Amino acid sequence: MSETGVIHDIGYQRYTGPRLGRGAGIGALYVHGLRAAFGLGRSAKAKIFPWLVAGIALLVAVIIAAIKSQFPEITFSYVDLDNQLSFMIIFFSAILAPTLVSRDLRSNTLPLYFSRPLRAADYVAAKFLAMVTAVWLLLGVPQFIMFLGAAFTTKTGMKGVWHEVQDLVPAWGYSLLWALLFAGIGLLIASLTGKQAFAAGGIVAVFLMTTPVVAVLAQLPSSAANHMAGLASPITLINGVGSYLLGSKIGLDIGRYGPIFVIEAFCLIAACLLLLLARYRKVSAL
Amino acid sequence: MNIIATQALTKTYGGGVTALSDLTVQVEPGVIGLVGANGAGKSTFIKIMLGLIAPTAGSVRVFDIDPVTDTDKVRARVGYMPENDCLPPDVSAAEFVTHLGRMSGLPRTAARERASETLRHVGLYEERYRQIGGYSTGMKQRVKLAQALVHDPDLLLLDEPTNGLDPGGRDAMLALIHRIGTEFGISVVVCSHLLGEVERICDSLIAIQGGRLLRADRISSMTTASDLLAVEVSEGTDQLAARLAELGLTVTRDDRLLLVAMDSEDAHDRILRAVTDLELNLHRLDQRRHRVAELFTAKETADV
Amino acid sequence: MSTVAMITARGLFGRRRALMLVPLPLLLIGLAALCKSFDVEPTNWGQPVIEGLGFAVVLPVIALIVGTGVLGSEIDDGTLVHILTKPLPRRDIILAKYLVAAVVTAITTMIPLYVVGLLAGSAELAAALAVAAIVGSFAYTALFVLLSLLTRRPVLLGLVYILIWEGLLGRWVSGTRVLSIEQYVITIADKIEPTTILTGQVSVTTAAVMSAVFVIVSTIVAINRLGSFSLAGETS
Repeated sequence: MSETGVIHDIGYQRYTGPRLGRGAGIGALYVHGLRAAFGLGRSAKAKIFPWLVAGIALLVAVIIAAIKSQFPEITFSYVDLDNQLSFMIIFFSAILAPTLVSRDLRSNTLPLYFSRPLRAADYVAAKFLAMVTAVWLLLGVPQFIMFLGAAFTTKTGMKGVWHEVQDLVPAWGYSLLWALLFAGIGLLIASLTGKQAFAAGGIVAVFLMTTPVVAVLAQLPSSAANHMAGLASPITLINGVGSYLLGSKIGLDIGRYGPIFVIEAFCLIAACLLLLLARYRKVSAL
Repeated sequence: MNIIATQALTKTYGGGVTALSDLTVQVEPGVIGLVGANGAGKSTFIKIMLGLIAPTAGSVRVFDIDPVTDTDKVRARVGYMPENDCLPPDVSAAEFVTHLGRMSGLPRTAARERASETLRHVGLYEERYRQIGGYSTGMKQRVKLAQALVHDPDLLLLDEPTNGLDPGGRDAMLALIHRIGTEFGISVVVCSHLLGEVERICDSLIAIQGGRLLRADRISSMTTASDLLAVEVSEGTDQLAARLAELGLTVTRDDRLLLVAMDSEDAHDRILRAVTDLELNLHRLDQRRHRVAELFTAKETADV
Repeated sequence: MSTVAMITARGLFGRRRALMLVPLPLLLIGLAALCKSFDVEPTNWGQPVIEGLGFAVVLPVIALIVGTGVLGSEIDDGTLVHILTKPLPRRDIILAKYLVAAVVTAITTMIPLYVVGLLAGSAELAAALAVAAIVGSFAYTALFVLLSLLTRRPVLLGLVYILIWEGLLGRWVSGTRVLSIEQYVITIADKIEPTTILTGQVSVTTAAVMSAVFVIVSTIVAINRLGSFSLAGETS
């Protein structure tokens, strides 16, 4: 500090600190994706749509919690929240998936990622987990708010709270199923185009156009077709899995075809991930 | 010590396109120019070194590591600057370079420090907090260079770093690359289709054409042997040629010009003396600015 | 003006994205044919196919893809400047692009709906659905062309309109139906050929007047907007 006011050009200094492995890179990409999902660290404009959706979801949860505390006879379960918010989840996916993957395609950033220790599988894993977490938070946090509302107003003390916990945890699992399926399908569609607008449109089109198919199949004069109609749309597929695993009736009557719903949901998620991986294997070699 | 060594490296794409064929080179540290026309196989070579694509045949070692099997180890020590635009418009350079630093495995704070340091080294100061979309082409090229440098690699692979720059920008970029190679102690491979550009800053050159090695050598050994004096006289060119040959100079006839190899310091004086002795009218006597380009057309075979 | 229209039409069909227009109408016809072959009563399947898929999804989504595509993609990749520098009144540019978008949307939606109408009932129903689809095409594309000039994220905003305004609010909050093109379309089809399949929820006058208002106001605002349009940089 002797020569104040003089800036020394200390020249180039080699980096001697620690170098973390691929795992740290994946972790950083995951956190980066999760932040980007909610527009954190990005412009104010990027925050509008995600927070609009998140705000509505939170608002709905607060309203329901308030209503339920006043009128305990109203049955609106944690699972019902997911189903009622299905349009919001579609919209959220349509914002999220293009933000996570189409942007990198559009601006050609992938060669920069893949010239680093990161692999195609790492990239896909980090982006998928980020989106799953974001969608799950969109549903899980409002469910938790509903839980808080119920827990604080329960008349039966700890027993009532415990009862609510038993309802909340499976519902969180149900939300996770939504998150897994929407992340898989959404990212797969978004990875096909660099234009965020088309990716968003494509995602909405896929989710929306499959819903009426279910309604039509449910009209067919065959009970097997009626029970399996739900397989035609991701949303009713999730409903079906929920009905089967949680033992409560959600949406359509799936008859005794529950296991088929579970198998299809699993295969669908796996197929989306494999296709994503194949897609990025191809991209990363270019 | 060689930083890059290939042995009969061959890459054939599906559909029978041969991008690299039987390429054998050893590269020493320093600034290396990788020159060739568009489509000569430069980018394929770089991608093989990064382990992005596997060679069809032959082997390649970078720092004596095989990029096909030990991809991570190679990539950790190499920085890559692609040819095309690859920057997102809506983030700041500081943020973007930090992010890529973390992708390379730097811890969070180290990535941030390294990012601002490298951006300073490439000449971006306060602008680094602005969104990249508003940058000029020159600034974008600097950001691309900074992201390749952020994890402090031992080798930089730069694909056409002067693309799209104006003459001033080119000079600045070349000077920067030269500084990285000399002051920073980082070896640099500069890909370019402009030979005249890279020969100014390189220690050695690798020239490839149609996937084959044309020549690989140190610039110094390419240029010393090649200095020529061009002599033109009004008449009696043959007479002068004979006389110069008698004096022990190597003379080649090029239409009306005589090209004399400048093998000794006094070649200049000896030519002048021969011209006056023969009482010829001297039109010109000048030293040919040797261009490395001529070496590649003159010498077909590779001597590594 | 015809040149602009030509270029726009070619831009629309010349790219891969035109393929996005194919599956939706095919799905519509396929579902109707499936129900028909199983001899399901049209009163049962008509509502989900015609209203649920045709008017609520196929029509707005195609209008969204086309409407934001004619101008939005040029703004996005910066090629709009090529047209703006031509000695053309900006009104003509908007009108040409809007007409191409509306006609393309109308053709791609009215044909499947006409076929579905035939399968569901009569030629009269088919014609009614086709007319309603044309009205809807003009109203939706006017709105989406305008959106692509007002914001950098026209598709997202368009999706907000389709999903949240028409889809979510339109279901529960009856007041929003006055500003829902989907409701106009359903009402118009219902009035031309009353069936049990569709139930118009707004008055036919509202539907007709509001459709016209959507078309005219959107186009005028779009023309004004393009008049003062400045090409922004890449930053958003």
